[in-house]
Amino acid sequence: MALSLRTAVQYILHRPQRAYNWGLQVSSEDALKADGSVNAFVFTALRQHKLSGLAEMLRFIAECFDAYACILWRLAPGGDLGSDPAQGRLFVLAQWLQDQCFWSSHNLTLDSNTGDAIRTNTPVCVPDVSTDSRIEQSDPLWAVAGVKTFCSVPVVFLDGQRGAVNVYRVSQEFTSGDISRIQALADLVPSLYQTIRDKVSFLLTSRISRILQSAELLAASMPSSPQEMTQVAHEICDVVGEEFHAAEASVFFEDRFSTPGVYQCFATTWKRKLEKTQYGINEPHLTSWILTRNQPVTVFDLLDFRDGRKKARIQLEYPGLERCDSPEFESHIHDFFPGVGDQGLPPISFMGAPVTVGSDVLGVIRCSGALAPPYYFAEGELRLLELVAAQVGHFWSNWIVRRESEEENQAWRVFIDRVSKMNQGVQNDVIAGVSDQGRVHREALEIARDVIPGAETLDIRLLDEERNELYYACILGDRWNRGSKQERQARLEFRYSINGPPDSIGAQVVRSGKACAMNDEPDSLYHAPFPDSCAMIVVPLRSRDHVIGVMDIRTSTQRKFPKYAISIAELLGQQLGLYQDLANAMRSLRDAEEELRALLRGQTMTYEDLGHQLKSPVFQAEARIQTALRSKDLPDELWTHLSAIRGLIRKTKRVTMNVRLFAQLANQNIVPSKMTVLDNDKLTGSLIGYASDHERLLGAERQVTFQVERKTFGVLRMHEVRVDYDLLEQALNNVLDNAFKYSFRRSTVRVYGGVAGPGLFYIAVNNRGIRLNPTEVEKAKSRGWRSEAAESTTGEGSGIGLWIVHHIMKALGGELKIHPTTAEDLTEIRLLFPISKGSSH
Amino acid sequence: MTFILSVEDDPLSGEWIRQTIAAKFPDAQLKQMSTEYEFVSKFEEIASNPPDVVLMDVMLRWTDPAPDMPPRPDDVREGGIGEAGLRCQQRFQADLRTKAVPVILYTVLQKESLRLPANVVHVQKDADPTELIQTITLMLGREPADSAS
Repeated sequence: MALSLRTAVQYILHRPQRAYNWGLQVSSEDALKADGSVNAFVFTALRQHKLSGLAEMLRFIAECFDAYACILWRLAPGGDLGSDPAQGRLFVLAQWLQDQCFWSSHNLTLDSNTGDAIRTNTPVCVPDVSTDSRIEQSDPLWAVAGVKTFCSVPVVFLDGQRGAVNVYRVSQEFTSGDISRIQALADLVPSLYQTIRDKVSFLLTSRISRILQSAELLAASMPSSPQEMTQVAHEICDVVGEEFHAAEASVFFEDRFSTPGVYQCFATTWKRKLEKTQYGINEPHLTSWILTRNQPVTVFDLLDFRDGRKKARIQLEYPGLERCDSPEFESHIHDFFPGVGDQGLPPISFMGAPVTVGSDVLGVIRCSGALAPPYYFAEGELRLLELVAAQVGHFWSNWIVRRESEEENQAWRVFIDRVSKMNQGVQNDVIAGVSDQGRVHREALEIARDVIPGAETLDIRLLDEERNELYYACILGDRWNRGSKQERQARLEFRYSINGPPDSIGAQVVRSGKACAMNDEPDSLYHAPFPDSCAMIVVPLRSRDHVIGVMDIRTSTQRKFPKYAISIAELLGQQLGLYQDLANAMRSLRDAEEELRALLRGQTMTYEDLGHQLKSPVFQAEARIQTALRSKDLPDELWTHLSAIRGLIRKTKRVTMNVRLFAQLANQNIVPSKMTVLDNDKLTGSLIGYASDHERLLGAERQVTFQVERKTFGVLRMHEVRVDYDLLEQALNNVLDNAFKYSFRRSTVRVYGGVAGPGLFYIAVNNRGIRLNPTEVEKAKSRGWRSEAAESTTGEGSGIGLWIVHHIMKALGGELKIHPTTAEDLTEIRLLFPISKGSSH
Repeated sequence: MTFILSVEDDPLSGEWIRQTIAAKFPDAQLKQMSTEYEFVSKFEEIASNPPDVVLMDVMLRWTDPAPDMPPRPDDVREGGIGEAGLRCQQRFQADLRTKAVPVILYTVLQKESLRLPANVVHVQKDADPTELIQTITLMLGREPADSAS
């Protein structure tokens, strides 16, 4: 009866003083020895923390029985002991030899003494190997090491597979007691080996976890890069290679940012150059099979691919697997076992596990060639590798997410900056009054190309609303240059009907007004002109409430467009729509401005013409009235009427002049027509005439009088001032009109002149009445402005009087000055004229 | 005695009205006001002794320049001088004492440019006073004096 591990551990913990009855045939002396051996054996096993500790257990067994060697044999995968005849072969799972330089054969058939022990589940002893015809006498174990006898005891591994523990002695034969004790220890081997494996599992995952945690902490403080992943991958490979004693441990990852769909070798422990460093989906290789099927794989011996029958058995387990992908291992396996013949080589075992997150295959981690016991990657080892792959999968997934976030953030930063510059360009166009739609379109496409990863073929198509077709307005990307000149021309001139047939994605977007994004769709959906696209985004260009065109962005690379790409494209589409609105508004404004200018020109000409028509009759009427008023013996009543009429005619003349000047100022500045020297007598005569007209016509009711201080104008005899008399008359009349309109009852309006500092002559009008606030002085010179007081006290007026005076004075080289004072509500208005240089007469 | 009220802010027009009324209605008493504020401030006096007919200019200034001018009320500010005469006419209409007094809007503005109530008479200012005299006569219900114009 096999002794279980649990029983052995219980024995160790609660070891009785007498020998424990295992139900074995043992002597009391042998029992004591066995008792101590089992204790020490279990301790030896429990002290191991490497898979190669299996060899230490075999060493213990060998030393217990003064043996030269102890070998643990196992039935290779694919064997079938139940068939008739039994099928399979045996291989060395682990071994210990006194002289480590000697290697025995790693292969045995079932037709051997060890095979017998395994098949019959009964210990088999060979007292003298030289007499056994089934034993290959040239084997170094007998021929060189001098082993004469061996004992093979069967064991059953925890996965149900059969094996045997063989103990080899140089001379002494094995007794039945030896056999029993060997059996007792051998029965513990599978369980103790599993214990070692469990320990290794914990240690391995702990080491991997520490590596990944350190990498996470480091990555949190700096931007992600493929270099940091390479460093982590190297550390993982080193740990995995060390724990599994693999000749090669490699990791392959997909860097979907630069080479989507390609799984590159990020790290390997293989000292030579790997012949194949990248794999893709649906390739016939072993590593590709793992990536394609998302399943782990373990192969007993890669050399089995050379044998049709063995390869068929592999393909039965892994359908579609065509060939292995590690030819260099076959070539260089001898490097790891120098001096060992082919028969002495262990199998080139292989295991690989996919690195995944959910159903997303991120890469693969694989091991080839076990260089130390156990010389085969069994299911247990594969489960360990899958644990490691799971840990790495989470880390790699986080790294991808982090990189995607960084990429997205960077894309938005660049996008915002570029769109700001584009807006600035459009703003400059608006200020300059130009509209360069072509430049704006090209800039938008360049932004999309630079910000959206993978974007390589872009275009803007605008809607011809008359023909209901989309036509190419702007293109970007090298693929547009493909083909002959005729082909390129035809491509650009092609138009897409909105209502089909044939229908196109662009037409659908125009009709629906909604964006469309496609990734990995059948080629039939990617319409002309680039049906071989792998991904496409089409967004509408929207102006107010209707679609004016589309923007089309495509890629032929394996990398899909990221999710933010469609948001960016839609925003660009909206911007282009806004620009179109702006361009339309500018066009409308220009047209309206032109219409207004034409209208204004027409009105101005009309005003000038009307003023001109009035000028002659008014002049004639004034002249005749003047003549009549000079008549002698004019009756008083008639003289009064004629005077009143003369005043009304002069007012008509003033209003007519204001209309003409208003019309002139609408288009241009006032231009004096004839400048002559201002004569003192003529000026005072005019002023008195103006004053008397105002008094007579308007002053009687409110008893406002005018006072012209003639003497103050005597300075004109010493200073030459040049004026246009018509303009001067108009300016004085406007100022006097204002003075009367705003003067208090029973007040006097004074008119006087003088020299104001060097080079300036002035005519001043001073009145007591409503006045401006100092803050309103400049406003009073602007067109159409009237103070509240003015609005209250006049029944007519449009606020252009002082505005016209201001421009008249500018035209005469002078200035209008307004001086309101709080003292007695006085306001003085001065008309300042430049004195001609060098004048003194 | 016939009492005619004239509200006219232009002195020349006011003088012309005075001469015309004196010639055609020599026994009529003419009272003249020159600003909307004068009309508003003296309305009680008018209402207690309403005129027989009113000649109302449409565009009236609010008041004359003075050290302490009354500020324009909101309706005057919003409506402006262009509706002064209409505001005065509405005041007449709103008071029972003056509601029945006929108001003649005597203005240079054309009838079509004014939104006139149905019971308001409009006479356009003209050098020929015939229409004005006929309208006043109609409102008063008698013939004017036959004197040279």
